[in-house]
Amino acid sequence: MTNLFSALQLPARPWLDPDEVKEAYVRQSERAYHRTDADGDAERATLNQAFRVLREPSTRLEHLLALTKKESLAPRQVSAEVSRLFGQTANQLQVADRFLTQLSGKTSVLLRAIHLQEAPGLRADLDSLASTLGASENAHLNELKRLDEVWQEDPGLAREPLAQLAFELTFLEKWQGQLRERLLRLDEAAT
Amino acid sequence: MDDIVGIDLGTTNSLIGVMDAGFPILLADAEGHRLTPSVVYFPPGDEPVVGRAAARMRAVAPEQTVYSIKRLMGRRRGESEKEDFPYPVAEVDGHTVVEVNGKPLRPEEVSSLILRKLKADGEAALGRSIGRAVITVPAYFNDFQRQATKQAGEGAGFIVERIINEPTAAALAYGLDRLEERAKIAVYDLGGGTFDISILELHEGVFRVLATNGNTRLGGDDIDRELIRLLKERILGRHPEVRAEMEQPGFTARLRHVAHQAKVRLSEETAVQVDVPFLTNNQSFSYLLSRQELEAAARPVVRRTRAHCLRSLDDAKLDARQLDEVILVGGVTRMPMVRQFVAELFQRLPNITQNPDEAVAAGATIQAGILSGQVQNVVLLDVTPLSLGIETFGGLMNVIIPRNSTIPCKAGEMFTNAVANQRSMQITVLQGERELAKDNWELGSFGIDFEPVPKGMARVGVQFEIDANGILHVLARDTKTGVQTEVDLHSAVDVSDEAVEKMIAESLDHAFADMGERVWTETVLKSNELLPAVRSALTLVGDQLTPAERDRIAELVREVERALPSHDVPRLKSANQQLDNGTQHLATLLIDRAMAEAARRKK
Repeated sequence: MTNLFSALQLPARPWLDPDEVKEAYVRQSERAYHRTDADGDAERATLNQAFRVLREPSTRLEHLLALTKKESLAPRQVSAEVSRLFGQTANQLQVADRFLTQLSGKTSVLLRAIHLQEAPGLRADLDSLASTLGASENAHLNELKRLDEVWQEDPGLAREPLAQLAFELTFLEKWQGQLRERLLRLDEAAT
Repeated sequence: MDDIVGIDLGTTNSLIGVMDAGFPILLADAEGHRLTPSVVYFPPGDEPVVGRAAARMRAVAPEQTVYSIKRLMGRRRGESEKEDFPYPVAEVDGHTVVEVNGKPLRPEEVSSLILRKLKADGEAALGRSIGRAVITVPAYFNDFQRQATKQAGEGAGFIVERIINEPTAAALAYGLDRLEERAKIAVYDLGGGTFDISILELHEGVFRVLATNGNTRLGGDDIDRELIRLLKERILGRHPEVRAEMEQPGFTARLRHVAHQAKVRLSEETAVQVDVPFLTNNQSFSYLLSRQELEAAARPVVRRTRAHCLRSLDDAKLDARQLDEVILVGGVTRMPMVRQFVAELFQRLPNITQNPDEAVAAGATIQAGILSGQVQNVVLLDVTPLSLGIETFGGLMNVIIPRNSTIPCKAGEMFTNAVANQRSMQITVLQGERELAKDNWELGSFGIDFEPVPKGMARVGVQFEIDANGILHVLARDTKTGVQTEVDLHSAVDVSDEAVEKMIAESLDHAFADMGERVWTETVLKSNELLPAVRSALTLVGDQLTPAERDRIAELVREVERALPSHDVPRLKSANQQLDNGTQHLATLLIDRAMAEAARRKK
C-alpha cells in the first residue's frame, strides 16, 4: 500500500491541520507538474489521491490505521448518540423526500404554491438538524486532537478509539452531505 | 518544435488559437473572422460546407444544415428526446445519429468536419501544418461526451494532447497576467448549449479548481426556443390562418434566425423590430419586441443556473461573500438580465473584463502553451465533475471517486468471490450523483474471472483511473499472476434495460391517454385537488386581493362545481384550466408569503 502521508511528506499521525495538508499538496503538485516522463501522470495521481484521502479526517484515519495494521480491530459499533442522530437524520430525509416527490407531482401553479407553504418549516428543521450534526462532528474532531496526543505517546493505546472515531465521522460527514443536498433541492424547487 | 493549438469547440461558434511570444493569439479565417459558426451544410451529392457559408443555409435548407451538434455528442439511447432539431435525429445501435440526405452521421463525425475547417484555416493563417491540439469541453461533460470529443479531434487529423474544461480555460485566460495574486474566483459560463460554474483558487500561478457543476443541456438555445414560442403566439394572435404553415420545419428555422438576432440586439437596445416577411404568399409579420418581453421569456431558463451555482459553492465549502471575483464568459452573459441575476446571486458585480466569446479559446491556447513548454510557472489542477462508482447489490451506487476530485486520479477496489468456485463477476461502472444506480449514467460493465477456490480466496484488484482529460480507464489486476490488463468499457454498446422499459411504459401511457374513463377520473381528481387548495389560499392571502379578483375566482370555482356532475370531460377540463389561470396572482401572493416566512425564520 502506498503511504499517502509520505507522498505529501507529512507526518503519519491522526490530526493534521487542513491548511497544512493543502499547502503540502500544492507544493508537491507544483514540483510534479512539469514532469513529462512516463511516470509523471502516476505521481500526480498519487498526490491527488493523497490529498483526497488525507484532507478528510475519516478517510485519513482509515488510511493511518490500515498502514499501521498490527492486530485486527474489534467490530465497530456506533455510540448511542450517533445512533440517535441516525434515527433523526433518516426521518428528516424521508420527510424531505416525501415533500419533494409530492411537489413534483403538482401540476398547477396554485397547488405548488399551497404545498410550498410547508417549505420554510421543513427548511428550518433540516437546518437545525444539520447544525446538530455539525456540533457532533466538532466534538469528534476535538476528541481526535486529544487522541492525537495519546497516539504520540503510545499508538497502540489510541488504535481502538481512533477506529471508533473514524467510523462515526464517516457517518456524520455523509449525513450532513445528504441534508445539504435536500436543502439545495428544496431551494431549487421553491424558485 | 511542433505547435500545439488551442480549440474552443463551441455549440454555436468555434475558435482556434496559438501561443505567440507568451500570449494567446486567436487565428482568423481568410475573410478575417475569428469566430467560425459550428454549422455544417451538406449539399446533396457534394462536399460538406462548414462555418459562415453553412450558417447562411440554415433557413434555406434546414434539413441539410446541422447546427448545435455539441448537444448530441456522447448521447445514449433514451436521451435524445425533447430536442427540436429541424434535421432528423435517430438512433443506430444505441448511438445518436443525425440523418442528412438519407445518410446517418455520428455527432463526432460532424464535429470532425468543424475541427477540420479550423485546422485548415489555422494552417493557412500560420503558413505551416498543425498536428496537435488542446480541445475544450463543458466542465460537466461526462465520460462518453469527452470520449466523443477526443474522437472528433482525432477524426480531424489532430493528436489530441488534452481535453480541457471550458470554465477552467477561461480562468487561465483571466489569471495569466495576475500570477502574483491570491484569489478565489467563480467562472459563470453560459454558452449556446451548455452551462458550467467552476470555483477556483488562484495562488502564485497555481490554478486549483475547488468545485464545478453545470448542465450540458442548458444555454442560449433554450432562450431562443422560448422566444420562438412567444413569437409564434404573437403571430397566431394576428394571423390564426397560418397555423398549418407554422408546423413546417423551414418556418421554425426562419423564426429561430429572427429570434436569435433579436435576442442579441436586445442586449444593447430596449426594443427591436422583428420582421418575418412572406409569412404566407401575401402576408408579412412585423412586431416591436421589448427587452422586457425577452427577459420574461428567458427568466425561467436563467433561473435554472441558480441551483448549480449553490451546489458548487457548497462543494467548495465557500460562501458567495468569500469569492473575490465572478468572471462571466459565454455569449449569453452579454444579456443585462443575466448579469443582474449573477450580481444578485453572488452579491457582487460580475467581472466582465473577459471577451465572452474568446476567453475559452484563449485559455485552451494557454493550456497548449503549458504542454509545449512555452508557458512556465503555471500549474493547473482540475477536477472530475461527476462521481464515479460501481453498482452494488440492491441497485445502489457505491462511490469510488467522489466528484470534484483532482485529476489525474486513481482508486483501487478489491473484489473477491462471494461463494466457493465462483468463476466470474460482472461489474457495472456508473457516473453521476444519484443514490440509485439506475438514475446515473452507466459507463459500461465488465467481467472479472476468478480461480475456482473457496469463498473469499480469489482476489482481483481493479484500478479505476481518471486521466488528465477526465476520461476513465479501468485496469484489472490478478493478484496471483500480477498481470494487469486494461478493460474496455466502451466497445460494448450498452443500453440499460430500464431506459428501454421506461420508453415502452411511456408509449403505453400514451396509447391509453384517449380512453375516456381514465381521462374523466384524472380530471375529477384535479378538480378535487384544486378546489380545497383555492379555499385555503383564500384564507391565507385572500385579503390581499381586490374585491373584483375575489368575485372572479368565486365564479370560476362555481363553474368547476357545476361541471363536476356533468361527466363532460372537455367542460371540466376547461373549467379546471380557467380556475388555474385565474388564480395565478393568488399563487404569486402565496409564494411571496412563503419566502417572507423563510426570511423571517432565518433571522
